[in-house]
Amino acid sequence: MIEELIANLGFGMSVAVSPTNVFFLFVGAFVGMIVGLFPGFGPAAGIAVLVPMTFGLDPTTAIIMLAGIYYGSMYGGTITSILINTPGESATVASTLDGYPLAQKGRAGPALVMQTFASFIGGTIGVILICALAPTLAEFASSFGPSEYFLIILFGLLLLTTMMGENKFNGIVSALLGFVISMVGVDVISGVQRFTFGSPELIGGIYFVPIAIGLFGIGELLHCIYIGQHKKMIERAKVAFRSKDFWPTRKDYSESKFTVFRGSFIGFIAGVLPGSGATIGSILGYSIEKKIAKDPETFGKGEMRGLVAPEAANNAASSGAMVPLLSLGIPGSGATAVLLGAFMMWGLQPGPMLIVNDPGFVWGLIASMYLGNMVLIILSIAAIPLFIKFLDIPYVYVIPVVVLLCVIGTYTLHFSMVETWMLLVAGLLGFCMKLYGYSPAATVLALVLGSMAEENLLQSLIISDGSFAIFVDRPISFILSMIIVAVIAAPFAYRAFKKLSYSNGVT
Amino acid sequence: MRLWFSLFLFIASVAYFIYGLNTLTFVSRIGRPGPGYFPGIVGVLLILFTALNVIKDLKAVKNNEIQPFRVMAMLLDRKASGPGSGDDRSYPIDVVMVILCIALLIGSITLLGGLLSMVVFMFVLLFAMNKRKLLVNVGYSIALPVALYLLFDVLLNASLPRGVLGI
Amino acid sequence: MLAKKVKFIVSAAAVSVAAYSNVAIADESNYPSQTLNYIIAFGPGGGNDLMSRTVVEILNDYDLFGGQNIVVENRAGGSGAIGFSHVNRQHDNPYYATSTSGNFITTPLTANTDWAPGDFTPIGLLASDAMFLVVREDSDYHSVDDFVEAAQSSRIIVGGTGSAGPSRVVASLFADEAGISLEYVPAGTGGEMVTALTSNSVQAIVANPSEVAGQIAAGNFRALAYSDGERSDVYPDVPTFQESGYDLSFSLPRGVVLPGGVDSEIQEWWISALKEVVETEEWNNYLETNSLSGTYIWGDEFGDYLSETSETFEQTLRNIGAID
Repeated sequence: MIEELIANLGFGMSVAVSPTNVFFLFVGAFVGMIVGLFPGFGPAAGIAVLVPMTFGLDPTTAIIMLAGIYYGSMYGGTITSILINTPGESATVASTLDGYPLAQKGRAGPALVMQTFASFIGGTIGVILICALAPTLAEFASSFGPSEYFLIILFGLLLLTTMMGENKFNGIVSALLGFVISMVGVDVISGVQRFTFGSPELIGGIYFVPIAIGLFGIGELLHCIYIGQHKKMIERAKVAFRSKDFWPTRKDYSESKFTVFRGSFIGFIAGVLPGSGATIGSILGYSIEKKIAKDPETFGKGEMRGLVAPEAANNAASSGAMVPLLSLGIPGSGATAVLLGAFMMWGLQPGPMLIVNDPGFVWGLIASMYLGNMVLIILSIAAIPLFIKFLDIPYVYVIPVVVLLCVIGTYTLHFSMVETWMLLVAGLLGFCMKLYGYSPAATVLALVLGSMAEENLLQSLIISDGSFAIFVDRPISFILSMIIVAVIAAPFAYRAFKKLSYSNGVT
Repeated sequence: MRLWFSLFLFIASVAYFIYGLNTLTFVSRIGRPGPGYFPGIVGVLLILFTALNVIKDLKAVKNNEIQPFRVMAMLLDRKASGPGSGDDRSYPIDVVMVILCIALLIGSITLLGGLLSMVVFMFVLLFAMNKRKLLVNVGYSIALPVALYLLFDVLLNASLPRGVLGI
Repeated sequence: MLAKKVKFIVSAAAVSVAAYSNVAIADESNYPSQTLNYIIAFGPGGGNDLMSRTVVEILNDYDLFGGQNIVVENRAGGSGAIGFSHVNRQHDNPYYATSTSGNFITTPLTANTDWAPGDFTPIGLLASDAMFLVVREDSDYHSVDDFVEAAQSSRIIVGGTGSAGPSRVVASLFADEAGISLEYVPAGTGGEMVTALTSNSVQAIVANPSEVAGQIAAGNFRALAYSDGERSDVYPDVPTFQESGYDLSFSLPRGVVLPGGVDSEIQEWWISALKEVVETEEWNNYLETNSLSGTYIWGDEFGDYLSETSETFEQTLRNIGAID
């Protein structure tokens, strides 16, 4: 087992480590970090906006660069969480809870360094677990037929929409919108054209990248303008470089040595579940750490463990999210959904066959994730002062960079004006969704999974001769169906239980 | 404003469902789910949930929690912009302006060519949003498009459109 | 996608006009005297892309295109509708070329396109891409006859890629020929089709050899029959349907065409150039790694072959009700 793991990772390293690849990994991580510093720009938006830049590259190099962007933008988002209390995206919200208070206490330096270490260890543990899990899971996944696929997609979307928080209806509507867009084009099962309005541009369906760039990139940008990001004077916590105070104390390390492992494992598990990903991982990591702490009252007031736990968790979750992507071809988050789109652009077929057909690609990618972690730790320790400078650039100057990258990037995908206009429409939609509490990430995920879900549902029904019994007849399908029922029923059961114990308490 | 978006989604859902119903068959000749099966299910669910959102918003309007015409008033009368000041202020006029600038960029890209349309876009945008620093604006409006042009057109070999002036 | 477009950096204003309307058609005597635009109607990484790039690479490496540049451009979209339409609009321009594959036949049948296979100038069929009937290694079917026998008494489900693609056509030609009925389940991609079989959701699949090569090599799958007229060079052990007593032969045309109206001398020039291409070691390596058979048909005979294939397709699609 261990030998196999090392052999696989070694093989991956041999693919990933070439001067060109390492160079582009650095470029990706660097650019990703900068993009992650833009308010509202997390990994999903970062990858979507930067995907067009990778098209001139060889597929392996391109994916390695994208992996660098993935990690880099995650990391960039944390810097803003700590220093200006503005999480780049939902996955780093938990990091603001103790990160910003730490910075206010004048401990911004140690906070940044500790979160770098936490991210590194979280990411590393994630990669080790992925090496152990991916081949096994891929083997297991080859016993997944259409009925199992449909159920697992349903499960993922269900987790995503029910965990969305404030308004579940909005989460469901967001996902359904993604389905609607995914249905344009020729239907795989019947070969009939749907919602194409006779336009040849739409026969092949609506291409997913312009929509993702529009929803995430333009949508976030418009929302930031709406809330007046360009009028605000940015107030950030000061960081003392070149002083002893920049580095964490011995107490910081010894306090959080177990925290980082707990966070990593929790994060990884959350990442592996389709539809949950880094956001839930980091929130779980934080709340569990707080729950088991002897002094929970210090959390939220600048507790180092309160930063280390979510940071280790969200990085481990980013690796974890690669497991369903690589073994099943099902993305677990907005960011991995964009990555999936990129895979397909290179002609790779995600699914259990990927690891069999393209082992070099899979292991190369995993190895590059590990390298990405190392690159990040180097970049972040060496270049923190530089990155912090980026925070001082007035937002007015950031606007044109984002717009031009989105527009030119989209245009150069296919040199299609139709797609470029679609970008703007998606941007408007993304803005409204963001403004009114809908979830663009659910839309993108559903857009990617929509045709898969439909296809597998209809295939199942053809195989079963129209009977829904196929979803409980096959053993794995049965288990999945039960889990789904449990997920739907849980909130009701919980409410009923509370009512019951309440009435018992009264009498 | 929330109400308008909910209403828009509701009407779009109904239109989608009706169009789908008219162009696609729900069940195929041999009694199998047809091409309209899945769109049908999605359409019904969309209508249901968007309708629920509309009802919720209508209730909120009744309780004066949201004001459907506020943004419109803001657009018509600049003085009315934003309730109060500080962090809660919003800038819908700026959003509309950026959207128009992006539309200008996309609309002019084939006419003026990639490079020139980027320069025009940046200049218009920065002039409107950052009036005071004219010199910085001009410099930036030239430097960034040239950098992107070099990146995409020369380095990445993804040629940007050429306009009537040949650049 | 990332099109490497020609950069007509000559002089300003006139350029964009010249690029589209004014490409001077060189006289045939000194063909080729300009840059060739090789259009790929699909995205990078697919079968069509791979073949096109192999051909262009060989033309370049062996200096077969008269020292002129060849610019390769992917114009994906609409299952080939957009790319082939782009080439078709370059009527009688000998500096455009493209590769055919299954969609070259099926797309005009199922969608409203402004072109048909017959509108192009046929150069040559370079490889034929036929289909396997594949079952799991642990299944009870060891020959096509076993399979037919089982299908007579029970409901057999066969998977394939696409609702109106080559998998479907082969499955329904076979069912007609054997007098059985098969339940056909279309999958979106080759990977999904393969997992449908590994997971025991379907009893057999009709697959392209390259899609199942890994599983066959790993001993998980067994090919029962091959849909070409002759056995595959790569899998000499797999009998053809005809040898097994079922009279059907079907393969996809992987070839090269130019826009319609190109001069016959240019057509001849291309035929002789491609005849040199298929002699090279690189080409044969390509055939082998992609489990293709090298079948060569040249010029107008290739055109006839295209229209025959198109008719078979149309007939089958009409029978199964995919088109009216």
